[in-house]
Amino acid sequence: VAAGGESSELAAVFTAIGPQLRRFVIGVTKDAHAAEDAMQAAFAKAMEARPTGGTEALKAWFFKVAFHEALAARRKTERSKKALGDLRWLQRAPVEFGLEERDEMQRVQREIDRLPAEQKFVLRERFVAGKTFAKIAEEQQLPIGTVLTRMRLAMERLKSRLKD
Amino acid sequence: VNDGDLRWTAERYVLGDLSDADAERFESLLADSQAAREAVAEAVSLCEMTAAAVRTPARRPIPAAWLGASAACLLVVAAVVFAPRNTELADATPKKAIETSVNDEWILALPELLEIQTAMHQADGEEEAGLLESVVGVVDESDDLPEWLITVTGSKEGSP
Repeated sequence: VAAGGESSELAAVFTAIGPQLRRFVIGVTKDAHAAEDAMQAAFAKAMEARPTGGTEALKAWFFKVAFHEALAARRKTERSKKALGDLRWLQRAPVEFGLEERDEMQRVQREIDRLPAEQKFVLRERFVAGKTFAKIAEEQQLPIGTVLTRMRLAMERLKSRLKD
Repeated sequence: VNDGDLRWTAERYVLGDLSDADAERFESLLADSQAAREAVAEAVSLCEMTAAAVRTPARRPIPAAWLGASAACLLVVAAVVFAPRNTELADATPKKAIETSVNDEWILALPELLEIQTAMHQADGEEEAGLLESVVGVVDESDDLPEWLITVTGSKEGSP
């Protein structure tokens, strides 16, 4: 990616990839405000550097710059490694979801209902009770590998349902 | 790293379940791999959706029994709402009937008419009876032999 891109073109790419980029950045920062800061910083850098190239090259450029900004924003918020396991940042209220996302959520709900009880249990313990996999394994007197496998199988099934 | 492993590692990274060493290694990969970054974005989407879905009970289809009960309730409500109108109609029916009979006054006057007719019949009857009596009287009188006939007959029978 070379410098010199048109600002309108950059803005168009940024707008198009915005939702996906935001999800990536929040995955790194685990904090909505820090994610917003990182997004703004990435866009400001783009206006400064004016990268050029195709959409895919510009997209990769934005993600790379946003990643470094996200790490910097995370450091500023001083979230400890332990706090990164706290899932409160993930908990958007269902009303915050758009229409399409609500449909997806209902599909996920139906699929969760169909999951084997032991997989459903791990999901609830992790997402609702906020327990770590290590804690779940300890409480259920299971090897951690078993708990992780149940979680992985559940997530794979939900993901495949979302892709359908 | 295959796709499945990459996605799973991204999910664990998002959930904060990687060890410090594994998280640092994964972040080194994020610095260079667009596929890894997109896997993180996808993992966030899936985890957000799952977190919301697992906390919200799924909407289940309404059982037929509930539909039946709801329909019955609606009928009761409809009956309550429309009941005053029905009463009005019920009240209106005899009123209308009375109005109709009032218009047909001859029906109300019927007993009087019958009385008049009966009286007329009686009068006619008396008149007829009078005429009949005169006729019958003649007849009756004819039943009794006239004296002149008795005399004649008696004389004939009584004659030797």
